[in-house]
Amino acid sequence: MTEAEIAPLACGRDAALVWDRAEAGLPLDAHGRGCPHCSAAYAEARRLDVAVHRMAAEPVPVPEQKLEAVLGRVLETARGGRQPEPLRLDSPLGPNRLARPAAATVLRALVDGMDGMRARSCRIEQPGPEQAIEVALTVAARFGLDLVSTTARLRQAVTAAGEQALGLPLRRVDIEVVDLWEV
Amino acid sequence: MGGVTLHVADAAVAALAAAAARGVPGVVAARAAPAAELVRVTVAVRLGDSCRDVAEAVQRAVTHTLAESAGRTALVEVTVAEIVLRSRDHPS
Repeated sequence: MTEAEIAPLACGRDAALVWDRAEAGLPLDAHGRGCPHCSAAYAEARRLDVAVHRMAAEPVPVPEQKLEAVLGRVLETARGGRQPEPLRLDSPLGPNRLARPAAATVLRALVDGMDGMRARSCRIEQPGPEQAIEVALTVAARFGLDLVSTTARLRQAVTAAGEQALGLPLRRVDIEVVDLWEV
Repeated sequence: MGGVTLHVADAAVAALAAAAARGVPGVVAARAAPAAELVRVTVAVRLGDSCRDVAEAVQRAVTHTLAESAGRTALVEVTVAEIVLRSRDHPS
C-alpha cells in the first residue's frame, strides 16, 4: 500500500509543511502569516493537536472490580439468559455450570503457550446428555513448523487440560490451521 | 412466651453463601444470589484445580453452611464464571 499524496494548498504550499510547523509549535513564516490558506491549515492543525493531547491526557476509566463485574454479569445472565448456554458440570448435588468463555480461555492459553502456535478461535460444544465436550480450535502457526506433530501434541494437551482443569472429558478435538506466519 | 421464628434475609443468605464459597480451595472470588429455594453461586477459580471438583466442593460447602448457620435448606447451583490463569489476572 502506498501513502496517499497530500494535495498542496491553493497557494501552492505543501500542506504537510504547514502542519509540521503547527505540531512543532513554530509560528508561520512571512508568507504563511499573510496567506489565508496557510493560516487556515495552521489553525486547523493546532486545534487538532490540542484535542489529541487533551484526549491523551485524560485518564482511561478502568473498572476497580473487574471480577465483580464479571460475576455480576453472569448472575444477571442466569436470571435473564442472554449468553450461550454454559457447559454442564455434573454433580451428585445437582448440575453446576461452567461459562463457555472461561473454558475457552484456558484452551486458548494452552495453544498460545505452545512454541509456534497462536489461537484464533475456540468453540466448545456439549452435544449429548453426557457432559463430554467437543472442541474446535482454529490456530495460526509459524511457517516451517511440523504441523502434523505439533497439532498432535496440541490435541493431547487440550484433551488433558479439558479433563484436568475443566473436569470435562473430551469426545473430540478438531484443529484447523487457518494461517501461517513467517518469522 | 410464644414461639420464636427465625427469618434470615436474602442478603444475609447471600453473604453466608459467598463466604462459604470463598473458603473452598481454588476459589478466587464468589458472589451469591438467593432465589426462593435455589441459591445461585458464581465463582472465579484458579487454574489448576478441576472446575467440576471445585464447583461440587462449593456446592457442598454452601449447602452445609446455610443449613448450619441459617437453618435453610436450599438447592445450590454453582457457575464457574472465570478461570484465573495467573495471579496478576485477578484484580485485588
